[in-house]
Amino acid sequence: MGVLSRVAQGILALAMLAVIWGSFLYAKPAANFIGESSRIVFYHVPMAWIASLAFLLAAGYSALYLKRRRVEDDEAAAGAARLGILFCLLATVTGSIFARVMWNSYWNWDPRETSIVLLLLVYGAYLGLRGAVEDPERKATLSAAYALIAFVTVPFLMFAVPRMYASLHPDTVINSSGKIQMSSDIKLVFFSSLAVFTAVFAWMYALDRKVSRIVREAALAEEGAVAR
Amino acid sequence: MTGLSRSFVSEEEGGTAAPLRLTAPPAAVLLGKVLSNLVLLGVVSAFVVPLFLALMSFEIAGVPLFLAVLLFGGIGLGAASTFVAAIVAKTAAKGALFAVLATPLLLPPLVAAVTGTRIAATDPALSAGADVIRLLVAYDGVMLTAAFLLFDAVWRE
Amino acid sequence: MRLVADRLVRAYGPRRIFGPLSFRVEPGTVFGVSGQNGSGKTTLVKVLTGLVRPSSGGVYLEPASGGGPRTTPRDGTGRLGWCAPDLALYGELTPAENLEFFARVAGRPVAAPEADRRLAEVGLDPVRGRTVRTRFLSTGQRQRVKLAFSTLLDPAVLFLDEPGSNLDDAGRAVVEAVVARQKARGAVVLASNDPRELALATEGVSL
Repeated sequence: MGVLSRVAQGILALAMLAVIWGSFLYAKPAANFIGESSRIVFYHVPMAWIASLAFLLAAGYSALYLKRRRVEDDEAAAGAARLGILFCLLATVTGSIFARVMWNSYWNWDPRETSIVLLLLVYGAYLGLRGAVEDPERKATLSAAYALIAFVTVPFLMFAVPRMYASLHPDTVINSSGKIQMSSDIKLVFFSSLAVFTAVFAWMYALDRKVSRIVREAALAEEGAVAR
Repeated sequence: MTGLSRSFVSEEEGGTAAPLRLTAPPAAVLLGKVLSNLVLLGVVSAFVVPLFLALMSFEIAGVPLFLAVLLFGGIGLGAASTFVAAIVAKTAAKGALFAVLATPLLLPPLVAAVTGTRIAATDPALSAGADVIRLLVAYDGVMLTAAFLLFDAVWRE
Repeated sequence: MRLVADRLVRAYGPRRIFGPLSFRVEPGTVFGVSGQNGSGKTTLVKVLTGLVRPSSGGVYLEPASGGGPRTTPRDGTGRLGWCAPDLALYGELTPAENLEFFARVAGRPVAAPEADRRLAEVGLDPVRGRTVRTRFLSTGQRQRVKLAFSTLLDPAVLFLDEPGSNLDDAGRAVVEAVVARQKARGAVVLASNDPRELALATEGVSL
C-alpha cells in the first residue's frame, strides 16, 4: 500500500473523529425535534445519500456493460448494488430509531418507510437474479438489463407514490422551498459528515473492485493450471 | 400473473426462440408479446372485474375514472411483466424468480390503481383522479420506452 | 456475401470453448467444421449466426466483390439460414404454416404455392405439409421441414449443424441438393462428424 493512501486514510480517520465529536458535542439540537433526536440527521442523511449514489453507479455501470461488454463493468455494477443495499439498510435503521423517538414507534408503514423497503426489494431481487444464472456473460447481461429497468421505476417508488399519501417524514434536504433550513453549526457538521462518509464509501468501493479483480484472476489462473 | 410469466418460457424451452431471433426484428417480438399479454389481461379483466364488483356489491361512482385506471394500469402491468418474463425465461428458476423480480417493479402502478379505484368509488368526476392517471400514464411511457430500449440485450444477449 | 471470422473466441467464464479462430468463407464454397462431440462445433456455428455473442473477436459479413460496408450477423435479421438440432419449429402449426409465419415475421411473406414448393424441394408431400401439424411428423420429416426453413429467406450464408441427423438415404440426398442450391446463391458452413457430409466441404476447420 502506497504512502499516499496511508496518509489519505489517516486524514480520513481524523476527519471521521471530528465529525463524530461535532455531531454529538458541537452542534446544538435543532428546534421542533424532541430532545437530541435531530442529531441523527448527521448519520441518516449521508447513508441515504450514499445509497442513492451507489444505486446510480450500479445503473451507470450496467449501461456501460451493455455497451462495452467488459466484465469489469459488470463487477462494478454488482459491487455498487451490494454497497447500496448496505447503506440503504443503515438509512432504514437510523430512520427507524428517529421514528421511535419522534413518533413513539419504530415502524409505522409511513410512505417513506414503505418506499425504502421496496428499494431494498428491488436490489435484493437484482442480487437474487445474479445468483440464479450460472453462465457469467448471461448473468451480466440479464442483471444489467434488470438493473436499468428497475432504476427507471425508482423515481416512482421514491417520489411519485409517497407524494400521493401524507408522510410524517421531515422535509428532505432538497425540499420544495429550495432552501436548506439549518442553523450554521448544524450545517457545518452536516456537510462535513456527508463528505467524510462519501470518502469512506469511495474507499470501500475501491476495495470491492480490487477483491472482484483478484477473485477473477484467481479463477483464470486455476483454469489455466487445469488446462496444463 | 402466472400466465404472463410464461410468455417467453415456451419459446425458450421449445427451441422456437432461435428461429424467431434469426427472422424477426427484436422490437417486433417484444411488441407481439406485449400485445398478446395485454389481450390476455383484457379478457381476464372483462370477466373478473364485473364478477368481483357484483360479488362484493362494490359501487363505482366514477365509471370513466375506473375504466381509465384499468386501462393505463393494465398497460404498465403488461409491459413490465412481459419484460421480466423475457429475463426469467433465460434462467433456471423461472416461476419463483418472476415474482421476486416483478413485484417491486409492479408496486407503483398497483398502488396508484388502488388509490384511483378508491377515488372512483366515491367521486363521479374524472378529474378527481387526475394525479393517479398522470402517474399511471408516466409509468406506462417510461416502462414501454425502457423495455424497447433494453429488450434486444435480453433477447439476443 | 463473404463471411469473415476474426480471432473468434468463446469462453464460459474462465474456460475457453474454442478459439482464437480466423477464417473466411467465400460465396459458392462449403466450409466444413469438424471435431469430436463437445469440441464446440455447435457453439461456433451459433456464434457465426449471431445467436451467441463472441467473448472476443468478431464475425463480419462483407460484399465478396470487396468494398461496401462490413456488417455483423446481429445488425439485421433474415439474412442467415440455420438448421441445427437445437432448432425447433412450432409443433402446433403445420409445416406450411411454419414457413409462412417465419417469412411473414421476417417481413418477406411467401404465398401458399411458394411454401408448398419449398416443402416439395425437401421431399415432403405438400398435402401432408398443409394438413398435419409439425408435432405429429416423424423426426426425419421434421428435419426436412427444418431444412426448408433454413433456406426459406434465400440466405447469404447457410449454416447446417449436423444436417443429416435422423435422415435416411433419400434424406441425405436432400441435404446434398440443399447444399448445391445454396452454393449457387451464397456460402455454406457445415458442421458435422459424418465423413459423407464433410466430403461436401471444400475447406474447413477442425476443432
